[in-house]
Amino acid sequence: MASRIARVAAAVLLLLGACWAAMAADDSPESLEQQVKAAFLFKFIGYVEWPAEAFADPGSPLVIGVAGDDSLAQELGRVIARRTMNGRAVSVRQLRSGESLAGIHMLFASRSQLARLGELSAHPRPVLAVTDVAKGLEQGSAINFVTAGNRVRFEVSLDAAKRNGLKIGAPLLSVAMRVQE
Amino acid sequence: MRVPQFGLRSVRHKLLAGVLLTSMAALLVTGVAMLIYDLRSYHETQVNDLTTQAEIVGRSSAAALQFDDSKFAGDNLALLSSRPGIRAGAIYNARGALFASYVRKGTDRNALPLLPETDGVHIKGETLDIYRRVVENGEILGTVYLQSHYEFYERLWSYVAIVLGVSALALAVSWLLSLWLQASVTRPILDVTGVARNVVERRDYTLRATKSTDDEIGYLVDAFNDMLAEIGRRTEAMETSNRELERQIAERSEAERALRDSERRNRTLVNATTSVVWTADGNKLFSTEQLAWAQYTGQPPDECHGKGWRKALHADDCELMDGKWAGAADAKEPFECEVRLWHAASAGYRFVSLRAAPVLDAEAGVVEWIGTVTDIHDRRHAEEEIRTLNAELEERVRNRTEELQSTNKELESFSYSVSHDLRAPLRAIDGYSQMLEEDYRERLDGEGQRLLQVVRQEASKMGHLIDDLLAFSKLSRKPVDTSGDVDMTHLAKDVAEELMREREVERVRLDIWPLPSVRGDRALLRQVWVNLISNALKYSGSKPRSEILVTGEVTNGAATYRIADNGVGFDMKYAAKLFGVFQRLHKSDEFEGTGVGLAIVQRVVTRHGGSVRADSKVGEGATFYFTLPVRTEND
Repeated sequence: MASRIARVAAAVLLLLGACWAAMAADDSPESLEQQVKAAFLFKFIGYVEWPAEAFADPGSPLVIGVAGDDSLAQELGRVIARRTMNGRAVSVRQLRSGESLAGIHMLFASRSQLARLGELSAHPRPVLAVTDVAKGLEQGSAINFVTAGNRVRFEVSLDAAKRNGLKIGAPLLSVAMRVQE
Repeated sequence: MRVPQFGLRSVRHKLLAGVLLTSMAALLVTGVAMLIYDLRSYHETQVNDLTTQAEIVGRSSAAALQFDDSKFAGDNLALLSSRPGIRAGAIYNARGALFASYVRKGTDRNALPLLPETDGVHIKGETLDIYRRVVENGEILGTVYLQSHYEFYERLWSYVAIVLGVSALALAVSWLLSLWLQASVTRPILDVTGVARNVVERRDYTLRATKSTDDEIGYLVDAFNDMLAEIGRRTEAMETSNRELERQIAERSEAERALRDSERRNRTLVNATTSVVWTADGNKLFSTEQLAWAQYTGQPPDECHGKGWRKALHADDCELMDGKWAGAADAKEPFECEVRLWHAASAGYRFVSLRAAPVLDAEAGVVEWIGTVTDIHDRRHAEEEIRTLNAELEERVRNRTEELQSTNKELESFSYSVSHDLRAPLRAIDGYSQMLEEDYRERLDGEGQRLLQVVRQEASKMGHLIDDLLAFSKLSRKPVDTSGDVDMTHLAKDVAEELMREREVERVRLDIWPLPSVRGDRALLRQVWVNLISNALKYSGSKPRSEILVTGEVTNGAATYRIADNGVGFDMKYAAKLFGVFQRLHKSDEFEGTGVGLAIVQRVVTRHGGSVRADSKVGEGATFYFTLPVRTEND
């Protein structure tokens, strides 16, 4: 009898815990947008083809560098959470100012870190640059988030990707809001 | 035997039913198999097709789901409009909310499920539903739902209709085929059946079936015909045998009846003719009671027992009987002897015929004797009387014959002497008449001379008559010498020549063919020829031309001579008188003659051991035959 009461009590506690966690999560519109963007970032990996020399060895992880947006980096970390993409492990790195892009495969540059795109333009390397600014593609990024009518969309620059030796899959292009040749 | 009418059980109908059933079965099996195959393949094709379509939609919508682009997903779904079979489609996101949808024109929008189900295919009536998860990189992105028009039952019914239609057509074709088959297969069988029916009904085994094919049926027909022939032969043989049997049975029953009759007759006969029947054992002893014997002889039964019966026999006859009986016992044959037996009723011995036959056993030993005693006393007396009478009669005949012979001799000698004595006065009459005629001619007038002439003629005629009578009576007395050979041809020709000398040769045609010779008295036989030929000449003299034919032949050891003329002939009713003495069939003024000629002919021929006869018709000539025995050297 005692053990049964203990088990019911444990279940109630667990339920209460879950409710608290849900309430604790920030579900403001800004936070939801950050979550969608983090998920998109992760999903982009599946539609982009990196050259083989971009990885030290076939088993090495794909690294997403997040520059200037720690909350996104954290959110991305939650999205990834030991998930793999195409059999490759994915990891997130918060890039500090001046930190080298070496070992980075995807770079998210926040509005404040757009300068990072200059490095890529100067020294093209297989890094997918993603931005979240108006006219981001003109700044040299390959994918740029656009918020249209309460929904997160994105636009793609094939030229930027090509410049950095990357191929972007047709399905991604088909769902892009705009594709710049 | 009743011939069955086969009706629906006939081979014809069986064959028809067989063909139709076979076709039906084949068609049904084929139809059902094809139906199942087709429906299955239709189902699989539909399911695969829809699965593939769902997969394609899922793949192409994966990015849309990942990047929450329901418009793109809707565009993707809208492409399904090119597939008329798909009525509706929907994409649900990972949380199960409707993400994008497509509904074909004319389809109820509410047909879409509110929530996706797990992967799978569902068939509801004419609707095929499919749910397909969209999985990318191990993550479930959402679910594709497609709803398709499923024409399973339509197909089924149209298939059934086709199968039924084809079946009907095939049945019709089968019917025609079976008609043809009937012609080539059934008809020969029906022919055989018809013949068999006729054979059974009419029992005519000569019927044959016509062989029209060279297959097994043809062989069957041959075998059937052979069998019929065999049956026919057997039946005939059996009928013959039956007839033979019936005949034998009839014969046998006839024989049995005859046997019964005979037995009855014999029993009656025995009862009627035999007064006593007795039996003795092998040793000639009376061992059983002999009632009949005792009754006849008056011996008491115990007295005739054993050898006692012999006492009833006359003592003088015992030896005779013992001798015959001993001989019969040795030869094992029946015997018969006539003995005198004591007859109690008449108190004296009577003659009886004692007969006995041995009864033999299997080893031919005499077991017993069965005998009869027949009273022949009266018969024996009658026989003796007849013998006495016969002897008396013979004696009387002998005496009478002797008397007759002596009388006959006396008569003959008398007639001879009369004839002889008559000649002398006749010669005197003739001699004196002649002298009167020669010496007193001129004193007699014509009438006197004519009368004198008549006297002379009559005297001469009487002389002839006397000569003939003498010759005739001489024939009776004298024995005939038949030792000499007589050439009848020569003799007849000689006589004919002599007789013809006195006649006009030109009005007579007389042919004498070669005649058989005989042994006999030449002079007498000459007289026969003279009489017969002169007779023929005489009686044919009235004809313008006499035709006489003499022939002869030998048959059965006798020579027959034939003298035929074309004269006046005679009436056959007088044929018996023809050969008698002085028997004349014609008046003497018509034909001259003494009436002795044919009598002489008969007597001569008879004394030669032959015979005479004549054949004639009035006005058509007469034919005389005489037959003489031909004696060979051996006689």
